Amino acid sequence: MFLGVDAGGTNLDVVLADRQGIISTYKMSGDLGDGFVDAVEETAGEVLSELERVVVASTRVLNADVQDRLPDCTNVLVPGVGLSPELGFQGERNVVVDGCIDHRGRETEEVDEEKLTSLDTETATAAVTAKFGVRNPETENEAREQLERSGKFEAISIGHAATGTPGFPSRAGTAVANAKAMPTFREVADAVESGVDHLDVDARVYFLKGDGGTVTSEHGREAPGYTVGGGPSASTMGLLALMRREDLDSEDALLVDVGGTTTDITAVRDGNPVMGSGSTIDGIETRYNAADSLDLPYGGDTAVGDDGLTRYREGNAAAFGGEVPTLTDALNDAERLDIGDMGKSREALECLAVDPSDVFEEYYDAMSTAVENFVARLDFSPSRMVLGGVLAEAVSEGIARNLDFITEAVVPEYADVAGAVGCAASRPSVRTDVYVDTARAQISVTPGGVEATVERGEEFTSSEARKLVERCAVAASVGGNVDDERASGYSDGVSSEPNVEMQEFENYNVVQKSRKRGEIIDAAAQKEPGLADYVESWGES
Amino acid sequence: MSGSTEKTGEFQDGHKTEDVGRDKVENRVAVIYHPDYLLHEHSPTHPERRERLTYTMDQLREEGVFELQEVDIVEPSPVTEADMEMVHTRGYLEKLQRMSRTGTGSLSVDTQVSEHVWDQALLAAGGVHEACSLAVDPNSGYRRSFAMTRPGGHHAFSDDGHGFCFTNNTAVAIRKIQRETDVEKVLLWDWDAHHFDGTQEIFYDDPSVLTISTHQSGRTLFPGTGYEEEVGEGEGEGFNVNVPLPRKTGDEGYLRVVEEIFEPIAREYDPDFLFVEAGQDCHFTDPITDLGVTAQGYGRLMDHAIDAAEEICGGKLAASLAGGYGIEGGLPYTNLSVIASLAGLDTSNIKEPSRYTPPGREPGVGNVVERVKEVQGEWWGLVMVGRD
Repeated sequence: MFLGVDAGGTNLDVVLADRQGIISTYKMSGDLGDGFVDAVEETAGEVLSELERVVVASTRVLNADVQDRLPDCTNVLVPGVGLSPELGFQGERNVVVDGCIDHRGRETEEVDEEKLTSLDTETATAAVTAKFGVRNPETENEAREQLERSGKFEAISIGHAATGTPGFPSRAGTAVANAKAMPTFREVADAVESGVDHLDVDARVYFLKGDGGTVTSEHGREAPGYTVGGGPSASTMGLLALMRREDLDSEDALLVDVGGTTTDITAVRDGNPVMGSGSTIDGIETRYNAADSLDLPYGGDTAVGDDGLTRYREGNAAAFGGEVPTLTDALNDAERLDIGDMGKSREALECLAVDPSDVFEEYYDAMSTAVENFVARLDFSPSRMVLGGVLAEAVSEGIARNLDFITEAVVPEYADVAGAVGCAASRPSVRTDVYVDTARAQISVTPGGVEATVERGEEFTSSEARKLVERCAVAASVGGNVDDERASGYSDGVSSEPNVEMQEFENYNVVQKSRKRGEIIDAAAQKEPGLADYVESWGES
Repeated sequence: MSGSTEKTGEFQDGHKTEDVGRDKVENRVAVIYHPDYLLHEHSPTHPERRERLTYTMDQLREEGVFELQEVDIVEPSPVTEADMEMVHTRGYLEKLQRMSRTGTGSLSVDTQVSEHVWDQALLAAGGVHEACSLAVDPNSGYRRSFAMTRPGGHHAFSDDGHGFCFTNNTAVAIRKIQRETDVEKVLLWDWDAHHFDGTQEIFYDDPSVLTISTHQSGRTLFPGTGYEEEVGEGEGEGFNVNVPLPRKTGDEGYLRVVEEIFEPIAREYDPDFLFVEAGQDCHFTDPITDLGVTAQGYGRLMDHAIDAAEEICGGKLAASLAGGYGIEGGLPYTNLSVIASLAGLDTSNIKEPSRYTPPGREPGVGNVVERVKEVQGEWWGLVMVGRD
């Protein structure tokens, strides 16, 4: 069984599902720290021993970023020889340290340990990135250990854990972004893992990524930037899963998540979310994929003033004890909605010189203008709109009415907990970079934690080399090791196919003194994000 | 690294962002490359093997070169057979096509034909032509260009090939540029360690292409030609310059040749376009030559070429990779150095890792330089400085 948990900051939604469909759902006020254990017990208390996967989407890092609460970072660079290290200066403080790794992963100059240990504490976090560090993980690992021993930093990220993609300056940026996200993500992961331990649940914990795949908790702790887009992608994946039977594969669609603070719109083409330029953290491009999403500053909790709808949240809706009326209260007042204390909604709005219907008409107008621009930018022609969130039913007709090209607006069952559904429905996914040098009997796999070995002088046919890379990608997606994956036939626990796309593949010889000494495999494979196989059969029974 | 730097301040972005207009980049460079350049193989352990490009591309990607505003990868198109015929005889082209179809045979003991040779020759000439075309077109968006193609071309004659070369990419590209654009006079500087015997033959009687070769003397290196007295013939007399350098010549020797021979002749010739055939086999790690140039030295050579182009032909400069067989210790650094120089990037830290030790001493080149001046002085105003 699978547990999906969507922690949006103020609400915690949980969905229990198995291979046949959704079994139960639960919605409560609160966040992971105070509510996780209760919410899991409420939803899955009877079947805790049967849980295989717990998948969590959290907006905690995103919220900290929006509120400008992420810590500063000391960006430690080991550039060796080549272009100016200034190209990778993306920390608040940037420190260049002597040391060099060459393109075959050989450490040709040792890292200046003295400089590392004598760094003073100007920032809460640090990141260490070496040019070609991906080919020789020990260099960055050892540098991190040095910094950890000095005890000066709250969190330290490393370049090769961030990404295996070539590009030292960008990787340094991604490592800085990860370092900034680490302390906040650690709180999230600790809350979930300690909750799982407390309940004695023997399930693997994953976090949702911005691209709709899931990443292991271990990998998330090393590269939390992956998860920063997980909150928004949860509802996208949930709505996709809920619409699975409606054949979204064949037509373009818009997915609309009406939340408390924002309304987020994503596009679906060929059954998959359309990806954007990637997540950013504190203004730094992480290069981690995330759905191209249009986020409007209007949701159920958006405050209403004498001039109508504002762009701000000042607290809960009056119907839920808030001081200031909100969009939810306006919908309650007009009887488009019936949630919370209807009387409180009315009372709050009576104090204002505004007609409630003008409030949600203003919301519809803002939505339709933004959606038209979004659709034009993506050169996209959707005919269907799928809505999720508590207000979805109340606003679907109003939003669709102004958009000529939308012929159908659908609010599927479980739309109010779409984000948690998305968590329960997504499959493991990761981009994996593999570099093999058989002349040196070396294999490095990014993300780390994947055990694999090659023999000195081992020879691979092209198809064997590709299979090795695929196995590494599957193993990395579930935090396993390559030999296990070989035995279990590429299984990630939820898919019958490996779902691995080879993105880059080069295989060439190492020749020295006119003799072949070995070969290099330099490849990147993406274990594709998407819905788990079992979602196909949801609702059939 | 010598010392270290530290910078404190605002967030700095190290890669492409939307808000920086591409037009604002002054020295934007096109690196011409195609994955099909990896197809041809004489044999897997041949010095001119595909790894010459793969290791370099590997270094460039990790450096983030292609993420910079200043550098783009541009994929070329092949030239046509008719383009080839501007340089090569019909009979020779047919022979190459025939051999390529079966993927057998060789032009010389070290120049084997594979099934990819013909297609790749068209694409290699297309790559060099693309580089020239972008560099001479003021509206291309690129200030300068560098073609990383295989196989090489400068040992290809109009009717034969050897020395790992099949067709003369540079000659085809230059003829095509001369035919299709306003460019009439071209200055071609070939700094490959080997004498450009094929290129010299093709342009030997042609004053519209001034050819200068700086190379390891034919007394100690293939192809055994390229002496001072080979000066061109007919109308082309005085438009071919050979500078045969002694073994172990390094950065200083090359810079002296540049300043005392290349630059004065370039100024006086006053071409419309400068082309550099950038053989990276003068590097001290090269396994089949015996020179002593470093990655830093290569950057300086390109700096001089850029300055010359700015002074004499409105900056119109294209370069292409020729030889270079120091696959691990040479090419990744020399290619990075010349590309960084072309793009106006900081080259001060581009050097070989410490496992490669540059030669400490180099021979004087005064005798060669003065001999070249004596011979070429008949056509060019060269100032005698004195022998070593």
